Amino acid sequence: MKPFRKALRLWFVIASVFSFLGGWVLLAHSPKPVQVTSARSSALANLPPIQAFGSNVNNNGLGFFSNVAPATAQQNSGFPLLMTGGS
Amino acid sequence: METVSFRAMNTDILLAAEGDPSRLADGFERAQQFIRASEVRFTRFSEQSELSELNRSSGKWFESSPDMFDVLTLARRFYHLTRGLFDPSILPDLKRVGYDRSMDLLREQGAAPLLETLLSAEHASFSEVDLDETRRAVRLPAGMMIDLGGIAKGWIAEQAAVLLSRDASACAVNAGGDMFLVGLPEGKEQWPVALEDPLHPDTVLTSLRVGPGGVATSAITKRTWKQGEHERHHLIDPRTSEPAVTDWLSVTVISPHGYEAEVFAKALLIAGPLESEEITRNSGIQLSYLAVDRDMKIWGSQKSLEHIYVNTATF
Repeated sequence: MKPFRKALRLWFVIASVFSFLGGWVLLAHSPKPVQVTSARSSALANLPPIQAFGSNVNNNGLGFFSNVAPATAQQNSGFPLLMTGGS
Repeated sequence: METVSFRAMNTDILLAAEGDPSRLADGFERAQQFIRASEVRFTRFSEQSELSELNRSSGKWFESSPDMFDVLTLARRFYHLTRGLFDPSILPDLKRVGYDRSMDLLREQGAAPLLETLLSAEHASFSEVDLDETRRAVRLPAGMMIDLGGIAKGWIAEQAAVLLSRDASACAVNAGGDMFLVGLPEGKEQWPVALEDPLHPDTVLTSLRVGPGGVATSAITKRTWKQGEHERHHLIDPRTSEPAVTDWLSVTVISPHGYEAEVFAKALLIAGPLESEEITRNSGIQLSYLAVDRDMKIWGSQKSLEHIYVNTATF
């Protein structure tokens, strides 16, 4: 029983040391995390806000169309102009 | 697509249809006759109209025409569905603020001064109107006077379009922005409908894509006049008995029926952004709406996304 215990202890020691060294090497060779600098932050701030679904929806469940296509894009020559705007 | 334009109901009417040319002329004629006959029936600006007769008989039973009974039945239903924001019994308030004659005459002659005598006039609720289906009879509560202008216009446009469609493969009837569309034009999947800028009627804000059914817009910028120092418009808020103070300039509704579109355009414009979604949801009607606010921003219900062209898929 005694030799078996000694062998098991040795195995734990060797496995722990190699695991530690392996992890060290792996981390040492992994890509560095991006450092957010103040210059980069201001560049992001200058980008237009992303128009995700829901960002233009108010508390009452109504959305506003920030990107309505101009009417001229859909004008059909020869088709009667059906207009609605109140009477 | 062939078109016929004329003026009726104090507004511009456009009939548009495609199909066998030899039959279209009959269809146009029939639709036009129906619109003119209906105008005579539903106008409040003629003492001889059926509506004026009904108003004179308030407090007593009145045997109405089938068309009048249909519209009154719808009106009572929509009074409940819109929680009273659509209320035909606001006629005394309309008259009090000066809209006591046709808009053409009002603009020409100017409005009468504020009628103080009617200021505190109490009247019964529109829900108290009695309708007897077996006799097709109506009883307005004593003293009640009603205006069916909007709902009648939407109903007339729809009925006229259905008449016209008997001789056409696809057609549209546009009564001053309240329209009903039947079928689809050949080779098209939608009808293109131009949404007017409420402040500049000659300018189109955008185009909507609409399937068969009703479209209507209510705006506080269209039927306007001055009464003394006061700027007036024709949309009375039944809660205040005054021209509605709204966040929106116009509301456009797209729904299966023309009269629904008309009624809800008016009710949602009065309701404004806080209540419109709830009223729409509770109505149980499959309608979508778009509103233009004072900054000319276009707002819409979730369902309205299918009717509007956007440059990218955003809301």
